[in-house]
Amino acid sequence: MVAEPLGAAGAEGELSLGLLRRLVDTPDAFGSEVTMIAGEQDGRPVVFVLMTGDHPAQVAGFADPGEMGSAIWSRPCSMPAVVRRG
Amino acid sequence: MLDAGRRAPGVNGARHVSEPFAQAWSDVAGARVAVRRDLHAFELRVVRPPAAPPGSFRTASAGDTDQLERWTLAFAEDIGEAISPQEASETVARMLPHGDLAVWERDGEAVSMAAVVRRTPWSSSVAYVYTPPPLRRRGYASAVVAELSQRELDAGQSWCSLFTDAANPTSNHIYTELGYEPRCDFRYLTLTW
Repeated sequence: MVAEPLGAAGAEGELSLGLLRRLVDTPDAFGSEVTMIAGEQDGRPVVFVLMTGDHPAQVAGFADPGEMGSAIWSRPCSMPAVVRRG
Repeated sequence: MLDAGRRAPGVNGARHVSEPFAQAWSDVAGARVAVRRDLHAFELRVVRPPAAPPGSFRTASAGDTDQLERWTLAFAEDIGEAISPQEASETVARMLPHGDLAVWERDGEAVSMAAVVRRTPWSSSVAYVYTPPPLRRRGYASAVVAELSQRELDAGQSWCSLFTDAANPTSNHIYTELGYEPRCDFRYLTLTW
């Protein structure tokens, strides 16, 4: 769901995609606690958040900030893989 | 994330995303936000080879381990993200077997290092660029980064990426000379709970 837009984002999405790929290869690379949330708008991903262990949350966006906004910020949730809106 | 008890110690990402995200943590949960570092994200598709300094490029080997661990520690300290000797050892041990660490060697001695720290199906990310202070300003870092980047492109990657500290105009200039083009600005913010 997010690999393609992260790849299309070039250097802006590379860090998130690289970390995601490393997690696929080595699930415990950053410790046991991994949180991933994708914000979706009208069926397409607009923002992706990846937090591993005690590292800073890595955020990548695929839309205008206004579009990303409420797709994720205003929807506290209990560890879903995906937060959908729209 | 809040319901799950997750309290991010910080947020990193392209500035147009990381800033509103950090602000949301502040608005919703009261975290105090501070800017930790501004970074430039660069992208390279064609290497502009620099004037080669004396010496040659080679992939690092097990025999380089001790020195690479020392340099990894020194690099982390240089960028203000100090790590422990054990973390430096683990970092080198993770990259070395995959040929992801490279050095510029002169007269049988390694004088500069660089590493590929991540790969995607399309790209390789270069980091851990370090030259000991007495050996700087001789073109070693440019040479090792150029050769390592070219190696990745030759292996089929479409582009290489690299992050620099926005407050370090010297490194930004060096990488631009090699063909790295600025793509976007990242902002790393800390959150205090």
